[in-house]
Amino acid sequence: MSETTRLDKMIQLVAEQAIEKSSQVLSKLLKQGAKIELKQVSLMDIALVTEKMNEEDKEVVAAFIGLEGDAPFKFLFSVGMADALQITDLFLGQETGTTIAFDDMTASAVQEVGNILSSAISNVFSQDFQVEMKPTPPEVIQDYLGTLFQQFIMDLAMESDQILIIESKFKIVRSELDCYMYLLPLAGSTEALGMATGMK
Amino acid sequence: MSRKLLLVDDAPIIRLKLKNILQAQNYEVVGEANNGVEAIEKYKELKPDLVTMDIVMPEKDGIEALGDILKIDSNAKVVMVTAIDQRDSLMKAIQLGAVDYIIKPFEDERVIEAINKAAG
Amino acid sequence: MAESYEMSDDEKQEIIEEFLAESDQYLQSLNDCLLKAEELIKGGQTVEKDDINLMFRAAHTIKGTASFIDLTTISHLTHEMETVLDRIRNDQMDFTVEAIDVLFAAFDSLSALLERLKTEGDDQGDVSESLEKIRQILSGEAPAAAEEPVAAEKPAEPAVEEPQEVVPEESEASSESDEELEKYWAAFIEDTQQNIERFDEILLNMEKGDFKPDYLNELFRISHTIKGSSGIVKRRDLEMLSHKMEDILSGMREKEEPPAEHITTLLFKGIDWIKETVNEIQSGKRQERDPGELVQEFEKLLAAEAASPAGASEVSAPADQGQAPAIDINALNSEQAIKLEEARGLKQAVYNLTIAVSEKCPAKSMKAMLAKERLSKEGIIIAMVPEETAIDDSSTAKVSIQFLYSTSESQEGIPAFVSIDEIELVSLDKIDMAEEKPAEPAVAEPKAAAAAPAAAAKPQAAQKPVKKEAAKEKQSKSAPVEVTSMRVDVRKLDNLMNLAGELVITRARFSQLLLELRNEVSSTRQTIDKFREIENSLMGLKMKTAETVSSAEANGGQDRDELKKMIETIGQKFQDTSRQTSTKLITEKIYNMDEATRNLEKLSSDIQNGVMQTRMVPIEGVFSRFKRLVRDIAKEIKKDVKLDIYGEDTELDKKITDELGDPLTHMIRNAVDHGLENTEERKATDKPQQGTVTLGAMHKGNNICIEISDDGKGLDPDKIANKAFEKEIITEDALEQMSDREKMGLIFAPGFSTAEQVTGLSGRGVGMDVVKKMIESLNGTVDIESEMGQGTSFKLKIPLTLAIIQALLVVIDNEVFALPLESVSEIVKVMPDEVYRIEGTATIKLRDHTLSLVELEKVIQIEQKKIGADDERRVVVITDGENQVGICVDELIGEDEIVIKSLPVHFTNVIGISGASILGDGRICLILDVGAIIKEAQ
Repeated sequence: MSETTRLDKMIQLVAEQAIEKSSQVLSKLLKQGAKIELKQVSLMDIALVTEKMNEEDKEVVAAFIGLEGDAPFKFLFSVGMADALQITDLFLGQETGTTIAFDDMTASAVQEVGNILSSAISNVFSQDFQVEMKPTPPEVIQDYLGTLFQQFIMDLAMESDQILIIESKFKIVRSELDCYMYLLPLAGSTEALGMATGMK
Repeated sequence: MSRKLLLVDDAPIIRLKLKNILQAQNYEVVGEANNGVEAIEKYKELKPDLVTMDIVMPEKDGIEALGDILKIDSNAKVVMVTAIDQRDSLMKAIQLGAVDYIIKPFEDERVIEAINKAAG
Repeated sequence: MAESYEMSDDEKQEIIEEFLAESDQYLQSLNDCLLKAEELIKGGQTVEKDDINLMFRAAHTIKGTASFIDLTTISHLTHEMETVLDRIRNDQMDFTVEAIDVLFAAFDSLSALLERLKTEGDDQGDVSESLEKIRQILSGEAPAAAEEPVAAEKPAEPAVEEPQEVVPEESEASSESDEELEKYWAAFIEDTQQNIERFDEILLNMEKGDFKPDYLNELFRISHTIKGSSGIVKRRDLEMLSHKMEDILSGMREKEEPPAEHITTLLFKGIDWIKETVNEIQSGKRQERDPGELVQEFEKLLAAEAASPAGASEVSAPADQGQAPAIDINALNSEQAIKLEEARGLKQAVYNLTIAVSEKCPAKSMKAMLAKERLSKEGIIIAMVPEETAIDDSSTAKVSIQFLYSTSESQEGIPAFVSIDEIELVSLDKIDMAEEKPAEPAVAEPKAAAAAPAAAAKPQAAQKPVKKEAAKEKQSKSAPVEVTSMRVDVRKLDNLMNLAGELVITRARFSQLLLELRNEVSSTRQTIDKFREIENSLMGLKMKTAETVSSAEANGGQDRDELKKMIETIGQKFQDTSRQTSTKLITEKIYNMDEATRNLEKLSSDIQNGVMQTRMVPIEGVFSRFKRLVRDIAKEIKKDVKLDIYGEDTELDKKITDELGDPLTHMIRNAVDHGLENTEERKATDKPQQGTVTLGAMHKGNNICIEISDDGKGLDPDKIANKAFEKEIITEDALEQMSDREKMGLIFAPGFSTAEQVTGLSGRGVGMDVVKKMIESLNGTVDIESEMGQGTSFKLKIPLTLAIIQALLVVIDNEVFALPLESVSEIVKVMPDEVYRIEGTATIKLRDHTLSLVELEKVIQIEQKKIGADDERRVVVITDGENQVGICVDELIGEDEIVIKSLPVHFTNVIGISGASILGDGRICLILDVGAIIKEAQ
């Protein structure tokens, strides 16, 4: 198996684990089943990515979190405005429909979901792959997805035309909620992971 | 006589959730803090019976804050409430002197049990 | 009934060894008390209750342990002794001389059995005589005439019949049997009640949750014992029930878990029934009872157990990670033992604390760690089973964790320490620390070994005072366990001794190196001096050249300048070099090394002493047996003798004490048997009727001096000399030339003591020559002093350190030899013309007497420079206490401490050499045998 293919396989493995765990944690948090509707690891053309994002052009609330450590990543959790309101209710165990306006609590809910998911992913890295990583305090932004995404990939975009992205979409079935999670390995991360998994 | 709680977490929604759970158990939330620095200030100011402490926070993280609070009051009862379920972080907290820990996402029962047992 | 309960041979051996050690102390105590009592009784005085109680307890304890490990002969014998003593202490029987004799007889039998146990590992032996004597005295009969001391000092004759049953053979229908049976009832009741108590205790402990793996085994053993004794007193009801209990326990012996509740309940019922029955017997009701119902219940249980081998423990749905294996406080590893000592030192209570982590908890090991951490903050965790690292997080079962924990907090406050979510407190029991240190002499070695260093934290009584105290205690009380002592494998001590010896050698090496270094420095100094000389010469050359050059100035100015320059340069170089070559630094370093070496010397000396100290035991251990010996002999030959002992607490190396026993015994026997006159003779010479033998010890320098004296008739030198002459040990000439002292010394000559005056005691083929050899093998000497009509005194002098001696090193024929410094009298310088020849032997005048010079080549293979050459010679005067000779040496090296390494086996017959040693410079030096050399010279 060539080096790149091996690395690919390994990234796939990591992505699988991370996404699986995220779905479990999300379910537990919202007390409703979170179904993985998409999970994908792809090397994308930046131009294409941005285009795609702009097409959707949704207004979303997103939490940006950095995963720092042996294999640094960028983490993005985003959910549409309307869904964000529901998430707040689910989080607080309230009847859906209680939260009607986007306020601090809504932002906090998204932020905390992001925090919990990214922490869960860092736990996976630590426990299953022995790669030590810790999340940074989240940043919450409300904007169009396209814009947000550009911000997300900005640093990497400056260095190359293609970026590796781990992408997943969760559907909270009962509430018909969708939310998205993106993981972006930063420079050197995949190699670091490769070493870690290779040594396993 | 209800016990006084200080809730420390950078997510207001977590503080709200904890408040909801614990006030129903006759605990009184006398203060909230957004980060480690605030946590210490509020502790000094309010002298609560118990503290819930998040780990990942801006300004100063929960582990440091835990250490600082215990320096002020070695008998402080701090329960870590965190999403980090990693040995090194938890061990550090335990060794510093956290009386218990709760992993997010948590069940209400866990919060109640942990706080009750910590309160004694 | 020496059944082994599936104990390994090693375990059995260990238990027996412990038993022997324990019993030894009790025997000692018994012996002393009996002797004391005898004296008092003979003197018409009463024996103190305390002493009688002491003897009773000694017998009782030995009995207890012996019966516990199925040494039935011993336990039966001691039981009988105990009965006698019990009667005496309850004033049901007079403490008469006969009683003493009976007890002594039993004592001897007991000693023999223990001896047998030591050598053969069992207690088979014929003790019927002693038992008969006891029986007689208990039944008020006159004691039988036979008084042969039963005790042989070698193992008893092999068992005549099957190992003894608890009851002697005559229990069949006879007019005596009822009476005897009564006695046995009493014994039976007492024994069984003790067993019942223990059985109860164990059941209660288990019920409380304190389970030790050996409990089930113990319960089994107890049931078995009760069954046995019930059979003997023919109580079928008790026999049957205890048999059932035994059966059920038999199947459970190997289990590591406590039995299920229903089983414990039934066992309780069983033992209670037995208790009731025994109580009835005690109150006189002798009718058999019906245990039918209970027996049926047990049988049902047995059937159930047989059907479901899954066993008695409660089974919960997901297999419990089980009861944590119980922590045995008596089997801690060294780390744990240290912590226990710490706790004890702080006088904190110790608890057994068990918690359980909820099965739902995802990260159990982390919770365990939390509990551990919280407990640690408030006290000391002595042991934790299992450790958090050993917990399987993926397990879906509840995890029990047991702690051995100590804290100054009250018991009520402890649960708060483990007040943690998903953790529940299962049990918390205080451990009674006093209980955990029963009179088992065997404190597990690793624990004890750890306790010793831990003792640094808590200053313990220094060894010496405790030993002295214990020595005193031995004489007045039953020997309790010395908390400050520990058992150490003798091989380890031997190893230490060896190392200490090696240290001496290494230290010598250092001294040697230092010396060589000094020499180097001095030679460097010489080099510097030489440099200076060269410098001076150069100056001279410079001046000369200048002169020459100035005269040739007109001719070669340039050459002259160059030459001048060259000379300058060279001169400068020399100056610089000579300045740089200073010995100041080296001298400083040597000074430091010197100091360090001196410290090393002190240290190695201290270590040597320290190691020696560990092996030192009071000589009392050897002396104590002689009180009894003297008494026995005196009685046998009908003399009135007393033994005076002094210096019992003089300490010496244990190895020496082991060797001293025989020679001392022989000499004491001699003193009593031959040395002392019989009563008439003594009266006739106005001596007190009672003869005195004195046995004493004291330290003198690096030696221990032991004296054996008597106030008897003394040695007759002429008689001895004549006898020696008759036996052709000496010639007539020698006979005439010998001094009285020399004549007396003849008793040590081989072949001197023969079977002529053999009484049953002294004649064992151990002649005085053997005694002397034994002493000499310890590097010791024996001296005689005697005055006819007054008495005789033997004085033994034995060095305390077997292996390290002070020696004078000399060079003879280019070989280094060592002379024990003790034997060196003086060193003299001798000029050739001061040497005379008397009868062919070179002699010199030493002050007012003559000194023979030994021609060493006659003794050992060397070539000595002939005496009478031109230069003066050094003569070392050596002595063996009596005689002196001189040895010519080529060179004196000096005094030094050397480690004696024994010669390889095939060299031990080389006359004149007694050992070898390695010097600091690695050379081997032979140690001259002073005694042999002096002998050869005569």
